[in-house]
Amino acid sequence: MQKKRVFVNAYESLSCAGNSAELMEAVYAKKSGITIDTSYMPEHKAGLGIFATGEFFASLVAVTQAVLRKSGLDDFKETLLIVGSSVGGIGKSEQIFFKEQSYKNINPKEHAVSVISDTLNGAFGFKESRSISTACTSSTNALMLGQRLINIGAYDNVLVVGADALCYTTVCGFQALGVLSDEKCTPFQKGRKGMNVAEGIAAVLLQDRQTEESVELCGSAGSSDAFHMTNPDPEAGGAISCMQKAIEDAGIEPGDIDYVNAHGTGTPANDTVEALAVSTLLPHNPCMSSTKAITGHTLGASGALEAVIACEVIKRQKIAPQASLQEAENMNVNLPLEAVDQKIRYVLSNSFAFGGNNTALVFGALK
Amino acid sequence: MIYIHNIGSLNLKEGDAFDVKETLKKATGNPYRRTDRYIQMALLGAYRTVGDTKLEPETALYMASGQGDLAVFTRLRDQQHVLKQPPRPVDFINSLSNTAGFYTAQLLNLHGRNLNLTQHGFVVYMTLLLAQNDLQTGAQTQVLVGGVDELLEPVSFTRKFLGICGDQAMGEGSNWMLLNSRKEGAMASLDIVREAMSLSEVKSYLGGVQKTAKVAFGLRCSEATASALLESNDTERFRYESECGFYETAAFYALIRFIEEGEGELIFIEQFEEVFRLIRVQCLP
Repeated sequence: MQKKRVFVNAYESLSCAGNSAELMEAVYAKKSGITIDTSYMPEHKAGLGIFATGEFFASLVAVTQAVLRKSGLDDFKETLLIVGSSVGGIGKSEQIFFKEQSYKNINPKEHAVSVISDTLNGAFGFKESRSISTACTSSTNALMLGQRLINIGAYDNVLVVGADALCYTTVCGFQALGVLSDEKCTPFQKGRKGMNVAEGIAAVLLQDRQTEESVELCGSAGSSDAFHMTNPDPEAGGAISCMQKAIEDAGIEPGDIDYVNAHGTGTPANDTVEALAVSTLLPHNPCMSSTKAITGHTLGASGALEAVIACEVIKRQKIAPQASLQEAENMNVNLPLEAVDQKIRYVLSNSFAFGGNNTALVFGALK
Repeated sequence: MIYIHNIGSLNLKEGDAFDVKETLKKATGNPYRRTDRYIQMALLGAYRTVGDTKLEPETALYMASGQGDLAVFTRLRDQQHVLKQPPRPVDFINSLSNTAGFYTAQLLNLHGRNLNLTQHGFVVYMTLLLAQNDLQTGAQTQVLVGGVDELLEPVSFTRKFLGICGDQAMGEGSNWMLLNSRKEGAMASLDIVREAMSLSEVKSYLGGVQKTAKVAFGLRCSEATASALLESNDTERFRYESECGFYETAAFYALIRFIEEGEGELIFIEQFEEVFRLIRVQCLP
């Protein structure tokens, strides 16, 4: 079966670093959007990525509306919506429970992951919708699914939305696991303290038609460590496997990768293993950076948010620097301290979730 | 066309006394101490499907659910705001949507793609369609697909969550299938009809199928709708409903029950709101 090519033709995002344009300014200027906060845990400081723009679901609709404006489509009635989210509407349920100390008035439909697709369906009337929830790889897996469905001609237009709001469950849960930093995170830094949880929304329109502004989503793959629930395989087998298969899916060689947008959460375990994986698979040592130093870790939204960054890096032919880095733990990876202007053909974007759920995407400049 | 090579089922009705953890421990020899009942249900269903057979490590794992692990959410809320304690790490980990997938992959030593789809309406169809797409394009060579839904107490909570009316019996289950593209040794073939249909389009579709095929309906499909669809043709109905309370992934159970009978073709009709989707299964000799 001849696979149809898949193009990223429009996108928008919102994170603690602002909208997509503001995000890229922040990325290149190495200006973090993280704030040190005690609102979720009065007894603990935590670096968090928080919107300054108010209600999450209103922002979700606004970001999607912005993509519709950029898309050239009249509406989304012939578009499949695929949502990737790890917490869905848990934040809404928490608000009700905290106020009333009871589950009685929790609206279960607003609790589920599908509250995001329900909200967007109500606003835009998509042709169909699906929801994927695999923790921090949710929207990366949604992008992979969208790519596959266009590959086989099942849909012409797929809108992938990654969205996760901050809530007590995630902030306090990650604190309980001891992986939150009380400072701005420092991915790949020697002696780093952990991650910053953040909220984020990113909407990415995939289509089977090419425009002058397109970036190609040319490869994707997933793998499972099946090693440990919270720790990655220390030999990086699962991470290497999914990166390698994504590169094969793109029909290119590892040496063709010009930039890696790392998962790079800032936790000791993730960054050590990811650096090992990249240095093993990509010995030509392409530039790599984690933009979570700017946005924090937006959990289920991070794959789509970093897809936006990957596309911008290709369009601008300018590599994102590694912010907040003083001394790298692994000297075998190429972490640029400043933005690099260079020819960029292919970008590899990694996402890794607890349980060793690994997904990698390859984005390519138009030939 | 894709093929079903193994099937396995755990199907429980409201009020059934069944110790999932103990049964799992007896089957696998592992107590699975850090897991909760939802994860144990996933493990038991998958184990019943695969047993001690060693699968290809690259076998993908696609898991579907209507509600995911809802019980852990209530535990986390109680810890924080009733007990005034931080979340227990084990509960936070179990609240992550891919945790059941992780334990299942670890049990079966699977290292391929591992996905979890959670939604109301067509979640079984969508998961099977994803598997069909990936097998037909060669993106995967083998996929273990399953659906897991747990019935929570009070039952009214689950009923409300799923939007199910009060006279519908509720249930829970963990039902799995091993799929690949090889006909040799298969129990049945599987075809996911890509097009969404209206009621009249389903009627027209059924008019064109062989009269020897049987028809079954998803549990969201009313008796009135089922009767309307069957009134203009003499297709025989395959009934599984009396064995099965409502849960979102019960369609897997219906398909498995038909395959267990060992012969013929089934057209399974799922409905959500005003849309219909069809799954065809043909048992192989």
